[in-house]
Amino acid sequence: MPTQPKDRIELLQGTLDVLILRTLLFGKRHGQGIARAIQQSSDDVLLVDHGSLYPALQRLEVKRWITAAWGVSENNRRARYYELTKRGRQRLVEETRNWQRLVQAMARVLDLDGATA
Amino acid sequence: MSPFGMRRPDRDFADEIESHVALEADRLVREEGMHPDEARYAATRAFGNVVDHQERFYESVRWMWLDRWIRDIRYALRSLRRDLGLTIYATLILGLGIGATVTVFSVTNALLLRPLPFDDPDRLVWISNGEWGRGQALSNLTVQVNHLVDLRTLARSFTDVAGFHQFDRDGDHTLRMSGEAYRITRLRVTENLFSVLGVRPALGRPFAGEETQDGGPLAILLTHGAWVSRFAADSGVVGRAITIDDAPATVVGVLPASFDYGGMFDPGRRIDYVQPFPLSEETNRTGNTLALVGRLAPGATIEAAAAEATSLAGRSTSDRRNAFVPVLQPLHERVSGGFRAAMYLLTGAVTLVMLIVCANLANLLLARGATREKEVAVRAALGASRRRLVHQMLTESAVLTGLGTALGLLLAIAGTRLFADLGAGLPLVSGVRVDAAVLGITVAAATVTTFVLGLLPALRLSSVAFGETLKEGGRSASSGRRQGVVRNGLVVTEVALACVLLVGAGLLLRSFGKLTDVDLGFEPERAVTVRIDPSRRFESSEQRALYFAAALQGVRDAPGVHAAGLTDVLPMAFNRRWCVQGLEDRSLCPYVRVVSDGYLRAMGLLLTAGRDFDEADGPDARPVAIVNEAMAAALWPDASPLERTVSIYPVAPTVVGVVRGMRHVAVDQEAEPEIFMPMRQQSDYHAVHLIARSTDGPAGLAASVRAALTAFDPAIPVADVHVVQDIVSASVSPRRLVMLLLTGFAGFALVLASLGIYAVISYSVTQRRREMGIRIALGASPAELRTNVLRQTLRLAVLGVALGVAGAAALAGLLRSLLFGVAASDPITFMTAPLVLLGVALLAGYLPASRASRVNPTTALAQ
Repeated sequence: MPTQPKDRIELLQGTLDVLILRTLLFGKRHGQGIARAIQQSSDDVLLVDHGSLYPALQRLEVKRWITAAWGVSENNRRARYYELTKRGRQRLVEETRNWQRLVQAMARVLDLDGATA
Repeated sequence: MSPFGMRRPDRDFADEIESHVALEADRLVREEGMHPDEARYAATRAFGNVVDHQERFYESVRWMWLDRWIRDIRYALRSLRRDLGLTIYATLILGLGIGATVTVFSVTNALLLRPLPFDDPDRLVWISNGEWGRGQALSNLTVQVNHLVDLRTLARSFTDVAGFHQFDRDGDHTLRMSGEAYRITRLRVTENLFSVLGVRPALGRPFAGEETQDGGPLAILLTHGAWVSRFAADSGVVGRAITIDDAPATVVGVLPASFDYGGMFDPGRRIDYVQPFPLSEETNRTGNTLALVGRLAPGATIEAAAAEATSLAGRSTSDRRNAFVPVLQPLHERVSGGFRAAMYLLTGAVTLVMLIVCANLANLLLARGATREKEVAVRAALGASRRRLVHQMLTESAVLTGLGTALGLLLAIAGTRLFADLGAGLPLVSGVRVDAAVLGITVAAATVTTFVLGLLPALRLSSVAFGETLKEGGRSASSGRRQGVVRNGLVVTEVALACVLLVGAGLLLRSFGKLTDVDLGFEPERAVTVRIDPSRRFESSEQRALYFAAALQGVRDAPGVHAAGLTDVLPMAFNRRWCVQGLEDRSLCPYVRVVSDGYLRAMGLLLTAGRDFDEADGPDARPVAIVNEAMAAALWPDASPLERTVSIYPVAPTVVGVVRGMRHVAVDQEAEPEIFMPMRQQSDYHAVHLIARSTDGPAGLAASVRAALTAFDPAIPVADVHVVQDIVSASVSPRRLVMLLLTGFAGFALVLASLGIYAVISYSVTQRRREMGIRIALGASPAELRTNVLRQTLRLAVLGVALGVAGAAALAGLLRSLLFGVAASDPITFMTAPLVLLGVALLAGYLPASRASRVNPTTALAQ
């Protein structure tokens, strides 16, 4: 990557899974595409370590929340495409709800004035 | 191995990474306008350590701990195969060590630890009669019936007390079945015995009602052994009418296999059936007959029970009653207490052996670790964590220990089986086996060994500077020195422990030597014996006497027979005592022997005064007796015993001869007062053993005796001709066994210690090759170098021996009860053992020393 903005945040343990599931919500993608999409949709704030991406994909696949198949990319390269399963979709809903609750709770604790974060 | 069984291939994952990098590079070219080569490089760098990711992927789809184990075990096997010699040696000594440990522990377990097969066995006590003081043959220490009745009815410390009749002898009875006659052995017990012990018949029922009364119908319980051997384990035997001694009897039940009277109280004996012994005035008249076993009442202590029994026994001095001095001991103590010291000794010894084995192997693995420093350094440089390295070394030692343990267990199974079969005069040996408890101990021992052996070399790792090691010829001097201290310490320990074992074995060997040198008072060599009383009954005692006289004459006429005689008891076996009155009311209870003329000569007893019995000492002649010197000295200390009369049941014989003492009870017990009475004048004897002596070996003699007896009466079971020497040897067989085992352990320890010295000295000579080369180059003579190395050897050995002698001196006191005729501080043993060790040590040091003296300075320095 050519530029490495200093204000990028390393992903917290466990957050990568949700991000992957969310990214796959709108259709299948390959690993590089997933990493790129997370980075872009977080306005380059979230840095996806490529090294942890693939073990995470592997983990989700084992849990059968996503499936994978080799396909061909738009610029004609062989790539392994990942797709959300029905169970993965349910999981995403649950995880999103959990995150909302966590974020609200964190905001309340950290912002003692009661102002919203 | 994936959690789901269907595994994604590593190759597939690599492809995916490849594709990722390509896609990222494409993007960089497209979006950032990079040069393709530069883009590819950047994409790869961004991805990070590909190998690491692949490894993480690899780990994510496998059970890594299992994978590591498999790889470590595979690696361990490979490296052990590379050092095949070491592996074989280690497996062998570990196997021997563990085999010996497990065997000894199995015996200790069976003899001392496992509870007796009775209900609540800790509450059972053995009650014997201490009338003649302690240290006597227990078969004499019996109690009269009325005392038992008192204990049962009056003593409150006991829930109940039962008795074993002690005077049934092997093969006294005859079982007739389908025309065949078998000699069988009975045991008489009081009817409550089985309820006191908590033993229930495996089949049928215990004795009941009339069967337990005088004159009641004869009911018997078969022992498990007899049920299997005589009745083919037929469960239909219960209720069957059989014929014992030509009288009808009913089998009411079969005892469980766990009820092994012989194995418990009289090692080597086999009881065939049990019959009730009634408690009545009739049986009271037979005198001291019973050994008692009581069950303590709840809350009663053995001391309180002993006090109560003593006061009861003292109070009832009335009617036709012999003295009773109750001696109580826990039943388990009675059964195997006599072997406690020996078993503790062997357990201790085998533990020392195991420690030596461990020290030896630890040393070996340390040396091997030194030669493998480079290999370990390479592995560390390639990214193996210290944890992985330790893990791998532990695996290696676990594999080694596993091999050794497997071999050890096989040896132990063979060893315990041998023990159980041989018996060797030990009680409860039929229960010696490798059981769950023993296996548990083995696994525990193996685990400890694994850690000791694995961690020692592993700990070294922390002191190894890998960078230094990788340099050609580099040597980390400091760790080398510390290691040298550890290795020397291990060898010194080995020598010290071996020295302790050698001293112990030496003391037992010397004891056994003294024991075999003991003048028994008779000559067991070149004499054989066979039991000749036929199973049928005689019409009169005259007929019986005639029969035996004829049998005796037949044997005397046989070729090769030099002398022959009859006796009712053999040495080291059954015995009994009767009390007599001598001069001035001195009373004494000598051992009673009923013998024929010629017995003294056949047995090799030395007549010191008077004469042997002869043909004239018939039933109608004046009753006569022969006494031994101990009896003569006790009754007539100041006068000649000849022509004195002794008042003894049922006659008052006159002493016509005096023989020297005879060790009749046990080899290690002095001769005690004995009286011999002629068989033709005394009808109170049960068995008749013929003893024949030849001038040459017993081999031809046995055949000759057998032929003569068969010709005389084919019904005599001549198969059982025993050499008298064997009877004596059998009586000391537990002692011999302990001595042999300890000697074996000590020998093994000696070999291990000398190998340990050899290994350490050779290693140090190899390490010092260059130094030796320089010394030679500077003019040192080969002899000087050799002396130098030998001095180093001697320093280790002397230190070890000094520690060992000190340790042995501290521990030898524990051996005292097992010694005979030597002091625990026996100077000969304490001088010999260290000398043997030093000699062997010097021998072990000599080979490397002479190698050192032959070092070629040019090659040594060129290296």
